[in-house]
Amino acid sequence: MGGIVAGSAALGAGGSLGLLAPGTRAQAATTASRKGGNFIEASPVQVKTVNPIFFSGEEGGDWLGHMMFAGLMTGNASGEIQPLLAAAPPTISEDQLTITFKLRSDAKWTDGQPLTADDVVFTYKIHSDPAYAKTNTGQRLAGRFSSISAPDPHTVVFTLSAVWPAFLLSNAHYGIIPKHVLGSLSAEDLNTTPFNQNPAVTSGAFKMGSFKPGEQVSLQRNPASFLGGSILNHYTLLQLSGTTGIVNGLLSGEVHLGPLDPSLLSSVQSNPSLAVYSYVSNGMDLMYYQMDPSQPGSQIFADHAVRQALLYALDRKKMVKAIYYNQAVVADSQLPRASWAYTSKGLPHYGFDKAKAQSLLEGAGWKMGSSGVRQKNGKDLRFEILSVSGQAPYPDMIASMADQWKAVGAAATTRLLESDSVVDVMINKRNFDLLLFPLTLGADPDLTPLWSSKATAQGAYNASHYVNPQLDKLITDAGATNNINRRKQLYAECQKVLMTDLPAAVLFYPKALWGINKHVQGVRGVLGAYNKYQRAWMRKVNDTSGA
Amino acid sequence: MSIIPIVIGVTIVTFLLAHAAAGSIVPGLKYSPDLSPRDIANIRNNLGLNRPLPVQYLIWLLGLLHGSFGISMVNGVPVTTQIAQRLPNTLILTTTALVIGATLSIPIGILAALKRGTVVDHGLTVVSVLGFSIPQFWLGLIMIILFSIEFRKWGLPSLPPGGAESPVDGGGVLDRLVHLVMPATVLATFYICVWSRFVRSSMLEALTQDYVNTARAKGMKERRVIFVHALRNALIPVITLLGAELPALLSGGLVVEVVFSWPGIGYLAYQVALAHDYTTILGLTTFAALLVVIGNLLADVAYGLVDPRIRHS
Repeated sequence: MGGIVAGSAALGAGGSLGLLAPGTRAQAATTASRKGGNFIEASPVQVKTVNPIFFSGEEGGDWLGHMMFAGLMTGNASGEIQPLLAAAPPTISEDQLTITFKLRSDAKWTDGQPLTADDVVFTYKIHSDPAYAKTNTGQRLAGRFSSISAPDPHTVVFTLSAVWPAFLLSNAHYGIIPKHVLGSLSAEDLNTTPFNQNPAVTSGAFKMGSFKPGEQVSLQRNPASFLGGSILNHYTLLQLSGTTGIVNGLLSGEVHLGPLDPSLLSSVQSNPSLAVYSYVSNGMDLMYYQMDPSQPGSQIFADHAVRQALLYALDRKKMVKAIYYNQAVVADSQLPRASWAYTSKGLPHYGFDKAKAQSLLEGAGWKMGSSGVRQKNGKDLRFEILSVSGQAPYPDMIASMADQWKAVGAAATTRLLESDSVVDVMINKRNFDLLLFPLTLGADPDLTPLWSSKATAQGAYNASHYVNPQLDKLITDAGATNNINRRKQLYAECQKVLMTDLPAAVLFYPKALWGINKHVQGVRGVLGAYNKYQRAWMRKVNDTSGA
Repeated sequence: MSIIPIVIGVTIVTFLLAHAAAGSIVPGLKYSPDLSPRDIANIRNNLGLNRPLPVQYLIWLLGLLHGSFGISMVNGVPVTTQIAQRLPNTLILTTTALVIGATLSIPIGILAALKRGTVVDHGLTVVSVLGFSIPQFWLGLIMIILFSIEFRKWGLPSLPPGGAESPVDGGGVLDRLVHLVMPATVLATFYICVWSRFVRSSMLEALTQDYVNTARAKGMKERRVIFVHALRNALIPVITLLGAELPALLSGGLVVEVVFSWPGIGYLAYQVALAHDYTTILGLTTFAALLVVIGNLLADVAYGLVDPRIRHS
């Protein structure tokens, strides 16, 4: 990941925030006069709101918000950030606690009002100030700032409570909302204002067209935007029921871009006017082992040898072919392949090795019984693996895993629950033996919510109940500096610890798959793991069909 | 008076089932490690989800008594607004299917009854059985593949694969009609096949009645015997059936609406169920329960209109 030092020597020699050089900042497009047609994208998820403060991690609404409401910064496919509303990369104080943004002086809202630092302060206070606790945004930034101020209309100063590298990488892209329209609303009223579905005032390259609930949301070019407006005349997000509906839309020519399921690839590949666009996503198929002594599963999985053995017993290359239709990569670390902090160098490697799996189990005292199931102290090596129902390929995946474990004498039963129920087990109930769940991590690879000891508490993601003071220190140190090289080093050590101890196994890095009409330009090579939601790039997308 | 306890009972069962379906989640929010336990607890608190279940239900019921079906936990839009936005689409779809179903099933049923035991009757029976055996989702998908994808490939005029109108410059009458063709056909197919069987049975029974023999004996033309005397009586159970089917059409259309992404009440129900939007689930169920009751009431009234014996009694 390239980048330049953004102003402050405190970042250390060779350090950077993953910022692109100033010359590469989001240029005002000079394409306002060039018309680029109508672009139709499809999503299987109902759009609930287009107000960017309600980021939900769901398809559709989040990126519509980013297309209409510019953020201070925006990210590219690799997670590198560049100024958007900011006139230049921010300056950072020596102690790395004060971050100052200078805003563009030409930014304004569609009603002609200037977009100023007050709007930025207002937006970030909704995410951090307890006064807005009743707004259902999730106060992701609560406690992070000792102050947010606007000393002049084009300057915003964030004073952090502690060094926080994730602020710029993962939290400086929030769509800014207009204070002069929404500032008078109470925290509760923000949840129900019609602005959430029909914003009358926007700042990005697009403005609102129409919101037809359950059907489609249409945006129009905003020629008055400081970004120069989009090439496209219209952008429409169709809400179709499931990936089958999306594939039908692509094949019929009605849809130009839509997510694909690996099992439906061949339908799209055989159509001469369509292409499949894929990249390794920032997702991971994570299999937690139960290590909580209060749970029965820990009697099996507290043993490191057993955890390793079960991973060695899986022929994951074969599973990629058979279950993922070759649209995934065998995982070899504990961070997503797409992450700038990912490394596999010097880490233990768990390739398919059935003999080694059996040897580890034997060595751990699990002797093969007459029924073909291993036993130890009169107890069978019998456990349950839980995963998500109705979400390909997880049902097939755990069925295949159970089958492969049977070959080494482990009797696994499978259980499928609806996604939210699995999440409930994962973060609250924790009554599982093995749990397989797809997780995505943001551009900042902070492992605190995933693997710190604090995250063993209810509501957090250390579902294995893994406690390691050494890892805690590494995670804390990595989160206390903005020096990218130092952070990479620390996260490399984190990955080594996690791959050695194996409280959870990352099985696969799935690829994100998109079906795209060949006459669409500006998506392939641009859309990637870390800017699926940060869609400022959509202003340069072009539909060359002439429709 | 039995309406009220019926509707209340339905809402209680729905409420309990909806909350039993999943544990501590935030409706409509995708979980990720970015969202802290404090955030989750906060939002659940804002939505009232941390209150005891009976309290949550009573608060919603109190709102219902004031004419409010609640506010969506997912997007903050009042449930009544969402129903009002989607209901016209469902009514267009189901009314069209109902009209097609009634228009075609009656003559088909009459023909089958008049040609009883012949090749025509047997042929219509086979087609009817096939028609109501074929799953609606399968029929819908096959139609999409044929009329939307393959027709386009062959250079023929094709039908849109889903939605109620075209995404660009859509919404005109012709555009909406074109989008209506496939979903209405799928929905109507089942009812043509089922109702035609009812009409056939009912006609056969009516044609054996004494008043029909009397009418023939009096020298009445056969056409008048069938269409004025026999058919009128044969339609009585069919009307009852239609009345009972009305709410089923609105909910039974769910499969068709999902397959064709038709933005109606059924599709809304599917989406809010997946999102665990409890208030909207409750609101929709209450709405459906009211429709069932009203549908039965309308059927009773219609029954009385058609059958003078009921009316006079």
